[in-house]
Amino acid sequence: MLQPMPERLPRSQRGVLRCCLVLGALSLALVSGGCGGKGGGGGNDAVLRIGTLGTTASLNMFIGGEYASYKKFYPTLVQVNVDTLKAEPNFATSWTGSADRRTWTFHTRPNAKWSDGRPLTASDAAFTFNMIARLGSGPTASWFSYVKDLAHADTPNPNTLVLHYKTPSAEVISNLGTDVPILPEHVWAPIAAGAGKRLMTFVNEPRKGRPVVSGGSFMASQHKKDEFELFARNPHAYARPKAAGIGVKFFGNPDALVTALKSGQIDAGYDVPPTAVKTLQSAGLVVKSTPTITYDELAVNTNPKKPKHRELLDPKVRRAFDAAIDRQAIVKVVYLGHAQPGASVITPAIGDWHDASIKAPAFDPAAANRLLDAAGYKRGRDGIRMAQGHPMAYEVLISTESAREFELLQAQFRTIGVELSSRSLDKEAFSAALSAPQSKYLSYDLALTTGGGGGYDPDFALKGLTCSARMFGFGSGYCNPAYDKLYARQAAVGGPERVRLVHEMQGIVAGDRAVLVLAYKDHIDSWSKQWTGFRQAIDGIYSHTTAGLLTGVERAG
Amino acid sequence: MRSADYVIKRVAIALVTALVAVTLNFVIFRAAPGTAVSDLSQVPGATPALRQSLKREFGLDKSKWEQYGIYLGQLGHGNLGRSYQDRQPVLSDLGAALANTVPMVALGVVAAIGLGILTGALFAWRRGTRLEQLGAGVTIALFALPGQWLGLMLLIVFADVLPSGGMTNDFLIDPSFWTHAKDVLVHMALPALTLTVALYGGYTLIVRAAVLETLGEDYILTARAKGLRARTVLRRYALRNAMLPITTHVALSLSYIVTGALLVEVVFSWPGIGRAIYEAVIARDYPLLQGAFLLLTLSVVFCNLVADLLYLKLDPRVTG
Repeated sequence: MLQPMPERLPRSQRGVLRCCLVLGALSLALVSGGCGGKGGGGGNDAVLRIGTLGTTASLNMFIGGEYASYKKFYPTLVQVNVDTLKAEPNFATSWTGSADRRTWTFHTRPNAKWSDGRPLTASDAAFTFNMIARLGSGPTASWFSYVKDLAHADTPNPNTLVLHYKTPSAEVISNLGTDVPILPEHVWAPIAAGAGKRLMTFVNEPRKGRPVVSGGSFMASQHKKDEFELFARNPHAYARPKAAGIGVKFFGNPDALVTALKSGQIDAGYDVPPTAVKTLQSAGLVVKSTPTITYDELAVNTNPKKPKHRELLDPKVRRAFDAAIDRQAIVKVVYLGHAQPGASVITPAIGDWHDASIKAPAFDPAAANRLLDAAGYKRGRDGIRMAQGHPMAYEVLISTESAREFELLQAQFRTIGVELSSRSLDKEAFSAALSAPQSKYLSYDLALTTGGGGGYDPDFALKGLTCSARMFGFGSGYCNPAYDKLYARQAAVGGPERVRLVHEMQGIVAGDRAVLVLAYKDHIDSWSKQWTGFRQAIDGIYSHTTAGLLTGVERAG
Repeated sequence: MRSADYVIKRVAIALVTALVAVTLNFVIFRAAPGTAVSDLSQVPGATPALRQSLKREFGLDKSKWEQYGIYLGQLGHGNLGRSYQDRQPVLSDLGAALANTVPMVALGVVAAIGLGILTGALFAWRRGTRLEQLGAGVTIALFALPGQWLGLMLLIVFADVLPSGGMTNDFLIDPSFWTHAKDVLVHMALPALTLTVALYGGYTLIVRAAVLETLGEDYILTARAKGLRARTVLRRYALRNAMLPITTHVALSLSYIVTGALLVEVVFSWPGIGRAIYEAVIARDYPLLQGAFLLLTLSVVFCNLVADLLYLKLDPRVTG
């Protein structure tokens, strides 16, 4: 066998040494030019640097889903005061509804301008709403639900907008008024001409140093797909922001976001994970939680046409499940305290809409066992109960993020003789498995998912629980005609009567126990003490539910 | 076999592989549960009309065969369709992502190849010594490390000195060329280093094994008996004859430069092909996935073809 040669290779080794020295020098150069630079300037010239997870596809609101971004550079009629949860002026300074709730009149700001200097008037708003209504079965379908009952919008004068509805509408202010961005007619009218096909390909991007024609507090001045958005202060803004701009950097994973925040590469982190709270606090950053409109739920498939595991249709079984869940443990272990035990499908985050009389059931596995025993579900030799000749063993659809929560549920259900296994799926596969086959909701047994969502109006959260939500694969398949009747009624009435109906609907869902609400989730943001003036909406500082939150943010000192 | 026959055969195999891949590209993504429509239609203003509108727009209301025909027709005209996510031509989206991926991955892969050849040959040459034992242990450990975990660790370790995400500091106002180049290099450091470390172990082990094999050949003994210097024996006789397996491995790795490093790009928020594929999978963006995997397939096929053709030069026996 050939042995290693005794000779050394001095020249090669010197070469390796040289390589090491070059690499070392390169590293030093990189480190010296690395991060640690505090961008953003100072005083009123400072740009707030926000980091967030996810991606940014398009500034065209008929293509992308960057709702928080659109509200930075396009005005809305009203915005939500996050302290009082009431609507307050934005582009509209005042508004009135007729007694029959079919006519809504908005008085808009006089002398307002788009960022290119052209007048921003009520006719821009009328154009936007009429255009969405006209093309609602095509390119504007993603916004159509806001105007589905709108007959037409007109403008008796440049500062007055009148919305005429086909049916009484109670949600105009809290839905359309708060959510739908107003577009500049002079830019979008040619794009929306005819069947509006160009709406789906129009590149609404800053070009050659010119921002997107904007009417909000900020202008969209830079956009890099999946990387970065820059919103500079709009010189024509009627609500002038204190900061010179907002830069939003999109991160691919939460660790990178937290690391960037800790090291000063960004000034604020939007939606940081609970696991990072202590780290960020010890790094001297402000960390604040706010209750959200979303909740974790264990959905039980109660479709009467369901072919298998029909014992899940038995209300006693679902009552036992509810009593077997230790919600405090979920809050403590999964959310590290940044959540509250859940009970109702409308969370306390949106004030009066939440029915506080609905309480989370007490964690009582002994009572759950008694219920199942009394209902005749006897334990087999292996400790698993039997139902209609088969073990009470169910597959739970879970997302990749809810593995820890599933483990807790699995252990809790084992104490009542119910075996759970999991099937982890990504968002699309989860949605397909939940509604299979073909949006009929016949296959799944249990699903660990997120419910709620939307904004300060409960409509979105309530709609997901209607029978019709099944038609477009939305929600977990819950269906109760009594609930649907109330849903239709609440949309037409306002004031305390609507609140009462919404409470009644929550009572129906809680009583059915097909949607077992586990925890009301908090939203967590963190920011540097060098910045002040932050306010959190139900979805945090970079909100899609209301405009105007960042106009008061400024560099401290 | 004549050289020309060999070349024709290899090119034909490459073409057939590409054609099969084109069809598989169409089938595989549609076999995954869920569609882009179910994702895009779950928005605050969702209606059944939106779902229908999106299906129409994406052509998903047509039969699979019709969709396949349209796909082939578009491909024949060099049209990869429009991305479902931003409705822009896939070709332009992939072009932009590719331009971001190539420099970062090339730096990482080339550094790994260079270091791997250097240390692999050194470990083979110094077989049985402590250096070789220690080096082999370290390279095996590095080879076993998952790239994304390594990336996260580097990200945490270098948190205060190197950027943790993105390709540039977007807050630099009108940077000069050199400032921009330095900025990109700084941002590239961690993802490229992750790739280098993750790939280095594999190259070292292959080079070491290949060189060890050649060191046992008679011609090495002859060369040494002739009194040639150790460095000459290693470089001109051992390493050159070990080039066949190394070439195959390197050629396949070069396709990696084009296709990106998916998880590394996700960890470091690098806006390249890898992250584009990741986001497209989540969004079931069929056109972008088809385009990206076509690119992947063609680059692998091309690099394999190049490796096969290089064999002609490196090893004349292949035509024998």
